[in-house]
Amino acid sequence: MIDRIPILRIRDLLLVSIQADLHDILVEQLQSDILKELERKSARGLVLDISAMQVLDTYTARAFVHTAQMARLMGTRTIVSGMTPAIALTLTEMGFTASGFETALDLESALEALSAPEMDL
Amino acid sequence: MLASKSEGDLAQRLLAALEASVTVPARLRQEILSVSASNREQVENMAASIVRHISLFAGSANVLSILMKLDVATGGAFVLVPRDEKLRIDNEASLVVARRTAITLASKLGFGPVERTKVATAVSELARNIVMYAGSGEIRLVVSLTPRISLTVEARDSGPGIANIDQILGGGFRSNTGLGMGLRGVKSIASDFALQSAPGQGTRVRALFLSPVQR
Repeated sequence: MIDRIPILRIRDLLLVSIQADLHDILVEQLQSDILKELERKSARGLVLDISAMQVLDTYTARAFVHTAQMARLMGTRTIVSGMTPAIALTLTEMGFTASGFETALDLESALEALSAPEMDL
Repeated sequence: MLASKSEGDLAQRLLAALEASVTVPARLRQEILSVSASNREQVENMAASIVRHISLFAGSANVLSILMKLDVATGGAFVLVPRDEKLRIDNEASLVVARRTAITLASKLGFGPVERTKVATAVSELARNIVMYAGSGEIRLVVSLTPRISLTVEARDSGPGIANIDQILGGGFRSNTGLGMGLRGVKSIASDFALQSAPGQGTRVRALFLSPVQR
């Protein structure tokens, strides 16, 4: 099992592509790594690409919300991209509302959104 | 990507065995012939397509016997016959394994992507509750093929138990850790749900998921 998810910096954007089976320690590690990276050097946007994830339970979804909130406090806008229809449907039926983070259909749309003026959340 | 020669041979044997039992439509034939045995997702999707086809064409009562023939014909290369699973849950890693096992088993029952995700999400929520509140426990995945194909997730632990079940399931309770949301969520995505718990008595949860295929 891998113990870290890489965070890529492209100019003023941070890009995280989650390819692994996410376990909770990995989620916490990622959260703290993102914050450390933002502390080191500010970023305009953060994209969490979850297109390779087959399962996203409420715990991990909440962790993403917290990450987005913390990043927001550090001046960074977070977009979760690539959520599969199966995950979107399951989370919705479970009563989880994705109001805590912005979403985009895919990575490309997320990057486009980050280069456009911000919407009101 | 082209499948290797031996993989192509496996696929041919699988297809021949399937055709001996049911008529195989061109699309399924194509899917079987293009699958790579080492690609987990491809194999899972193929398994799901085969089961869906058999249960629609020959009825769910015939699924098991046909799958057994397919496994024999391919020397067990794909392990298509679904079996009950018993998983010990006591840490992070076991949670990941449980999710993975649930997805694979659900695909062997013909569950599509949405149903697979639902089952795995339920397993994930219940397994996490075990790790967080009881430390250790067990999750069983129980297969049923008749009268309708279904997968039951049974979680069991000897942890502290839950005192305010009605409050938690009714939505009036919010823990800092999210126990309520997880259980309520599992209840709402399952076709049937039962929770048995009392302080000091441990917790047992049962969540039933029906295959979308019906005949």
